[in-house]
Amino acid sequence: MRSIPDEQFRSWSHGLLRSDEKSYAELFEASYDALFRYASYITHDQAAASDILQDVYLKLWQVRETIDPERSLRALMYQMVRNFALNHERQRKRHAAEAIEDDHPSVRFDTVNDDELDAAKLKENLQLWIDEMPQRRREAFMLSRFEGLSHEEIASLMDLAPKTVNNHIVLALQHIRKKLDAFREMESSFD
Amino acid sequence: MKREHTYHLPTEALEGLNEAQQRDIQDMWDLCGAVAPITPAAQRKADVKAHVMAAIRDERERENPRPALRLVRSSDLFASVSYRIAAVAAAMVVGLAVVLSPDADHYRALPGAVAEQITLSDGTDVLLAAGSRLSVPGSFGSEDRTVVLHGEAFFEVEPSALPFVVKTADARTTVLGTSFNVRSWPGSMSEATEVIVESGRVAVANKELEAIVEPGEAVTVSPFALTPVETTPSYRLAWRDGGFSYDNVLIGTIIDDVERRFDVQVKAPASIRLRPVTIHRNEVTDAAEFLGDIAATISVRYRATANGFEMYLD
Repeated sequence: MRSIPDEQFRSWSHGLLRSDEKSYAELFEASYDALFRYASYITHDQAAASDILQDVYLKLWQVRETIDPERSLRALMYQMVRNFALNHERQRKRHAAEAIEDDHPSVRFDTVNDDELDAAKLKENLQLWIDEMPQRRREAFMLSRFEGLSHEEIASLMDLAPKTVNNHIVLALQHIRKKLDAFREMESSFD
Repeated sequence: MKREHTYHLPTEALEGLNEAQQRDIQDMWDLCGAVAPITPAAQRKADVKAHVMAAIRDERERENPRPALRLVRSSDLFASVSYRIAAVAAAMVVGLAVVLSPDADHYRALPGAVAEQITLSDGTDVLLAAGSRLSVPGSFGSEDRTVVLHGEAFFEVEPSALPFVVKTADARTTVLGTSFNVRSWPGSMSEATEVIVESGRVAVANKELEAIVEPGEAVTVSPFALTPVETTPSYRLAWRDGGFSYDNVLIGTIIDDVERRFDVQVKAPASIRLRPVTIHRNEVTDAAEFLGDIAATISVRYRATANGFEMYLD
């Protein structure tokens, strides 16, 4: 949603105040994918993510008349997704070990080309290394790396200091570095 | 699948690191470009959209024979309704933010003060609590007198043949001429709408239920429930004079009010926020003192921080 200008969001805010269905449908199309990804980062469950998004869009329409066009609708929507997703997680009583993402595309080994195998394996492992990070670190990292949110935006969303957000991101990258080094060492020992 | 955008490593991330470390994290940032993006299943997305748009249309159809909430009374309450933009004068009052648009006027009482006074074009006085927002549509005064509230306000409604309606996230509150208090903070720990009547009679409704509320009485409203609550109006309305008055209310809710009233941030863990407490203070002028009182009541500690306060366990 980074690419969508503030003006556009302000226009959608006014659309909400007018109960404009067409405007809302546009907002839905433009924002769904990014918010879906965010819900998935938190829940690791695509089915849950779409349920959460449905609740968010319904709730947003419900409270539409109280929208303040001067405040960021984009930030509000991220915040709503976060609240609903965390609530969902709390209710689900998660077990200690975090599950591997269900949506991870399965790697296809239909070629025996070594380079391709390596690249595919690397991709799979990258995903794993990101998944095994602590929840909040991963959330902050994903928002920065894949959603383009600024430190301030992430800080505001997650109720952290911007410095803490920065630490999370640096630590996340350093974690990946360590894992990659270990991985490469292991790989080279098989040559 | 190609990503929509490639984002750059924020420069702050490089601060305090040596060259080798900086190269490392830049490399890892770039490497992450190989991670497959999550894409929603197209069919499921279409289903969600269909469901949401259908719900919107259903609601529109339900609202369009208007629910029979109008208490239309006899002629001795007529007042001439002339639409004046007198409310704009209220914008001159410091602390009130007004946004004019062709369709509605939006008022917001900025945090950091007790409340802001607004007079609407029909003569109704509204006292808007800190951080609260009131929207007055362009049609106010023509077919009805409807306003939309996010927050808390005390209304002294000018008698008129046109019903005065306050819409909040979960409720519609309808009156002819009376004084009453409405509180609605969606997204907070206590997000139900609460209505307390000082004088006159008020009809309060959600999508399913409706009730008449008499002077001295109060109700809370959520999407599917409408329940009377025991309350002492003189306490509950103490906010109008800068008081804080709570009867078995979650500390999280009290903290929200303190933040808006004094324009500070108060950090507190969930274990503190979820505790209910009873506390009544008139005319509070010092946030620290009031927070100190709360802290003492439940035996926790508090301290000042850079932009406010923090409450914490021993």
